[in-house]
Amino acid sequence: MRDTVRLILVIVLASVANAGIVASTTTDLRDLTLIRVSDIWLLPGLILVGTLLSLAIGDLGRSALALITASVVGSLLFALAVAGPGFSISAIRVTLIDRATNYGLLSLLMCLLFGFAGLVVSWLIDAALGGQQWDERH
Amino acid sequence: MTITRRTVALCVLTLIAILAGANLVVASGRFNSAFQAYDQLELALTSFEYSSPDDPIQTEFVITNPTDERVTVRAVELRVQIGVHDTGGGENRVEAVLQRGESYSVSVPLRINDKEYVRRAKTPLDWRVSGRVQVQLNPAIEPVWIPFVVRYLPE
Repeated sequence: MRDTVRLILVIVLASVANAGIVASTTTDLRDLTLIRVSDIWLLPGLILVGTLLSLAIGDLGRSALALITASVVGSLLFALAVAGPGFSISAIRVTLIDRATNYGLLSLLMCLLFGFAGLVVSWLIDAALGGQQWDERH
Repeated sequence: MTITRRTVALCVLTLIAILAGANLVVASGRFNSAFQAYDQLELALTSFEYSSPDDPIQTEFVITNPTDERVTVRAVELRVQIGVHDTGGGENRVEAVLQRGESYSVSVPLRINDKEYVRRAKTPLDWRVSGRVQVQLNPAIEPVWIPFVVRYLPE
């Protein structure tokens, strides 16, 4: 039960983090953000989210499942942020929804690809620190 | 109480999610406000004076900003048609800043390219003015072109 709650919490956090990182570093929204983030942090940011997600869950299969879910939800959140004005203003509806679809799909690919790279980084950390035994010792 | 690697990872992920989430919420809110402001801009063709095919058509175009935001008008481009036939156009690229509730009147002389067509056209001429206005709400947001069409029938 506790693991399931943790899994859901990690998925929610990783989704928001993915969407926020993509929004902060890509053309449409980056200049309007609260905290300026350079474009070069897009890929390291997504890798970091993947790594943290995997380390926070600890299990390979559940991590992969969580990463896919977080990528889909995160991309959807980002696409909705871009398409948002189009839902209330008819003149730009097609333009923005089209743009949101393209950028959302691109975002999904990046989140999946670099998120899985983050998973690999977490395995390396596991290997370097001795896997589950590290947790038991600390 | 022991601090495990999983807990540390969860805490760092939470911190990143809070910062990134704040960015996402603020940016999408500002993005939405910008487009709402563009949508509320009022565009009106207040004057259209045609004398002959050899002289430019004198037009006066008024842009009103009813929003709470400051809007910069960067360009006005107009095309003039008779029915569906494109007969000329003009533009004005003088930049103007509109504060809340302010109006900006811009004069755009429209040059007639197809003079023969205008001479031969059946009167009253079915003038149609189409064009676009380039406005910018915030220097951080790319300028947006707002298209419009006006039909003008002389009495």
